[in-house]
Amino acid sequence: MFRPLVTLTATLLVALLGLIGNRLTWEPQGEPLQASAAQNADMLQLTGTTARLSGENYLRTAVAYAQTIYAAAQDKDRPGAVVLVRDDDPAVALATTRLQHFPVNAPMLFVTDGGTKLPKETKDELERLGPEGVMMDGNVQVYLVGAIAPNVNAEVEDMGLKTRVLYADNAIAFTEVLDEFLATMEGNHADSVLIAATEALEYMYGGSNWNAHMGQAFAFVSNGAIPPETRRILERRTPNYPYIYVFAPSDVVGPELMAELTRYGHVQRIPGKTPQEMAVRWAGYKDVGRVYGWWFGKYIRNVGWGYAEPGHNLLLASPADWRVLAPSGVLSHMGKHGMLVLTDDNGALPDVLRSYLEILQPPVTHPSQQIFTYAWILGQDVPDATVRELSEAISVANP
Amino acid sequence: MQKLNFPSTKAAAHFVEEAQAQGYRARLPAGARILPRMTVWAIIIGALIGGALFGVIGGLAEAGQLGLPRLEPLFAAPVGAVTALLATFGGSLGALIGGFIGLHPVAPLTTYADTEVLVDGVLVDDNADKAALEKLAMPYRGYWSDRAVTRQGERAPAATQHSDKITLNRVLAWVITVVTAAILIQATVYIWYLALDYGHGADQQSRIGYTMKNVQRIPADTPEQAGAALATILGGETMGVAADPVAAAVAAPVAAAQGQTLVYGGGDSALNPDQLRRIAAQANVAVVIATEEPAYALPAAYAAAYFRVPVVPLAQVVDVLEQSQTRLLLVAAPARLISNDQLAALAAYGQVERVASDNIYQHALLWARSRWGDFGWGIDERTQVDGYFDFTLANPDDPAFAAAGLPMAYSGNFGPLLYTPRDDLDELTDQYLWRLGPDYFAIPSDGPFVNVRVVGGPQSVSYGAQARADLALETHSYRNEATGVSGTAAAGWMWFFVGLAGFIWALFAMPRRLPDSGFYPRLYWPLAMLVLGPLGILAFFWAYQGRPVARAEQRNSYVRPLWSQTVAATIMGMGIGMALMIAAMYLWEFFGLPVGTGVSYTWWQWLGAPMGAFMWVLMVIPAIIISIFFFMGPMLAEMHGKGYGHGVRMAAPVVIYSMVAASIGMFAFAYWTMNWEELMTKEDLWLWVTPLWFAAVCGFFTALIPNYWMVRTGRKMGGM
Repeated sequence: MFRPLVTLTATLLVALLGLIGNRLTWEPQGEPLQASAAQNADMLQLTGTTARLSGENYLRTAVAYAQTIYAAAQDKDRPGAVVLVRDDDPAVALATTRLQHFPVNAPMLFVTDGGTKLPKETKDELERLGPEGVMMDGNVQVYLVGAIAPNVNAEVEDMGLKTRVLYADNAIAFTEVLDEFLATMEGNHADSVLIAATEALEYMYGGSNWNAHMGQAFAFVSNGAIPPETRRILERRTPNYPYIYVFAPSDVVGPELMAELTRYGHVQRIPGKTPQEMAVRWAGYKDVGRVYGWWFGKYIRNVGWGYAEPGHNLLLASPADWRVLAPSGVLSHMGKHGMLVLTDDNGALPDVLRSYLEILQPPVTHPSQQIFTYAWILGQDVPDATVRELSEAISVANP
Repeated sequence: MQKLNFPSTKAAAHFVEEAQAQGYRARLPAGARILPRMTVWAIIIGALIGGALFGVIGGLAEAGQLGLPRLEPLFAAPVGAVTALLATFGGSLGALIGGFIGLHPVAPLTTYADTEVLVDGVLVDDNADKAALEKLAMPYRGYWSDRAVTRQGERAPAATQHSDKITLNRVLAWVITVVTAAILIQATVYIWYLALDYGHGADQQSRIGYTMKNVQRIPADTPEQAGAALATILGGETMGVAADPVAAAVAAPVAAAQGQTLVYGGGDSALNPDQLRRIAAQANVAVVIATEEPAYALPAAYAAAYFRVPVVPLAQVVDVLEQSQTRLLLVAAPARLISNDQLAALAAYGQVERVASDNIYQHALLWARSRWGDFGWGIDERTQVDGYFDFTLANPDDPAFAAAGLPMAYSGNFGPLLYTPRDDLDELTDQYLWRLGPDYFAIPSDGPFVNVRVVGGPQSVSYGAQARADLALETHSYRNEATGVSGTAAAGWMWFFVGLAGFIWALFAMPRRLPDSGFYPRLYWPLAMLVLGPLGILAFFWAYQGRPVARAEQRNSYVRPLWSQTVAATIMGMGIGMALMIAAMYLWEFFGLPVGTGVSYTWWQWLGAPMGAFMWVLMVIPAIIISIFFFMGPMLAEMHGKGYGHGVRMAAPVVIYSMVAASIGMFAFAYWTMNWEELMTKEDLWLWVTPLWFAAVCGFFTALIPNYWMVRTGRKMGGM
């Protein structure tokens, strides 16, 4: 029994059984896409340097983002999980993008009808994605966040997907629920905290996408006050203290509130008087400094895209519909890792963005060392002429 | 040499130590010899042959001459890593095979003879003062005699440790060894299996279209539609050209020079030869193509279009080009399309160089890589490690699509043409893309980024081939390529291959060459090699090579200096202990690590993190329990001739001290790699092996500390 050959054979046989068992856990093989390459060409319109991502409606636009990032053609290009949010609660959706970052690695899709219905668009995409499960959270495949009804959870579970519910009946309470969950999963409260005002969410769009990219903490102030949930979030960074970044102009978060925030930690305001301006300023913003230092180890905080040269990519969207914007975090999380910038309300490029594009436009060198800039166009609210202008503005130029 | 006799090996060994300290040349004559001379040579030759054979395969693949189907993710590693990795694999395999050659069984060093009392002698230098040595030897003769054989004529009890006797204790230990080793082998083989059997994709029928993060597709199902689509996509003035790939190849540089978007199938008027002559006159490079098999002409036409260099069909060279001795004339056709004789006839028009490969995929790559002065894309994956690159991807069986894509050579985010067959990305192209796959060093948005645009419908380039390119080109942290192999990951695998060979070899070699070794060491030493790699093999030689065997209390005991005893005692616990810890980690990762949300909202919230302190509980506690109850407990029970319960009680403190100490080293290393080196990994990623196996090495060194103490104080045996 104990002869070497028996031991080796037994070992290899048990390993083979394990391998077969492992193989059996794979999702069933599906059909690759065979449709016309021109299918929905208007929704996925290309230019030389840009590509539009949209569906027939906001539900499918969120699906288009997920399909762009996760080809799901092999095991390695499936997401870890999917995040489901309500389509009528922008504050929760914007607060959730930090969950999309690694280790969760998830696109964001919608539930409808006040959080009670799993729409077909979302369900089809859940089936296509076949999330592989978050290793650091018991292989959870779907996160239901905010006030989503139990029947949706039951329906997702019936699809054979493992879920985690992060429930809160309002967005401010939700930020604390999410913060505590992520802090527990990661064994640390993220020390950089992005702050938005519940009454002026449109200033947060750029910061929200950054959070899908870098997964920093997030909290709200509301109507000129710091809610108790946010106070607790800020206090929980002890023995460290938070580095607070406020995404609101002074007419929304006044100097008194800024001063009050300094009781908890280091506070900075992201510049910009309009959401468009703040998005561009945020693209150029970088704050590097201490966040933690001990005898041997150190962490630096590295907050903000901070790009002032070509070779960094953009997401361009109209601010008209938050449901097109919030799920786009996944496009900042993987692939082109784009910074979100906004058109004017009438769909044109704002001047502040035009001047930023001059910085991002790559000068011609030689193809072996040429730098390129790309952009995703989000949804259908950005007019073709604006896309064309952007496309030209980020094309390689002979200066 | 003279000989002095002692009542036991142990006494003799202590004498030798003392005699050597006093300057005598004294040594023990009979120690374990693990490798016969022939086996040593066989291992060396096997390692060299295996290493060279596989190394050459890796080298050819890295040189772009050989495809390694399904193993393309290896090429995400830095240049040289594939060669080194395969050479190490081949070397380990060759050494493993060589390790069996001439490995004949030897007789035990302890003979258990009926009559021998003086079990061992010591050889001393002829010139030594025998009388002085005898005096020195005197005290040692009085101690450590092997009680089992002290009385003449008394038969020593049969050695029980290495018999094949089946007991419950042994079955338990054997089963746990087999299962643990199988988990580790399954875990590691699966990572390769996943690479080899990729493609189990989801049903894609609900997709909106073909756009992916790093690869998009021109929305067109025919080349003419692609031409029209590109006119819209790229905008600007257009130049229509007939739906003929050769005509498009010739017209593209002219359109580029005139700032126009070439529209394939957008016209049928022939190009005015003067236009061609005009750009020919301005360029000191010209590309000569064959009109047959235009798939060969198009990769060159892409470069020519970007650099505004004329593309001239062979028959038109005389008509279009002036005679010149300074012009570089690049011929983009293999010899079967333009013969060497025809090449010689071109000499009057420039310095002729054939830039072609019969393999059409290699041909496209050749044009993408090459550069002559300022002409040519020069995107060489072996030297360009941090560039932004854009490519057009098409099927060479449908050269019209590649021709329709020509405007992408000089407009928008431009770049060279690459080829793929329909169903699966060509392996040479795939290797090229994995190698160019971007790495970030600080945060991923820093870049660089690589992008591809496919031209052709799913009948030309499948969804799967597109998705493969998309996967290869995703940006990853330099040290953790995630879906691909990084240099760090390759180093871990190299380490692992050596250990795996050691594991298999030691299973067979120990009974043959170390017949005095017991049942349990023959299980834990191979496991130690599996988890400690080369260090495990080294420790094996430290522990056994040249060591004589003593018998004490009915057990064989290798006579070792204290440091070697410490190594052996550490391995006794760590062989199984480390393997169990890694196996436990694997199972947790496979089934998903739990988050301890019960401690959320409290000061103890940090304890709930599965990758923090909680991981210690998940990984170490199960390993300690299994080791005590199913391996060390049964082992100590047998060795001391006691019951299972007694063995478990003896094992508990020994295992706990050892494994806690080992886990401190392991976790310190793991914490450092995860938090400061960004080596966070997952059980099915290439990097999985590196942090765990290198952490095991750290664990070995920290476990030496309590083991030294335990051996020194007699709590643990160092002679096994």
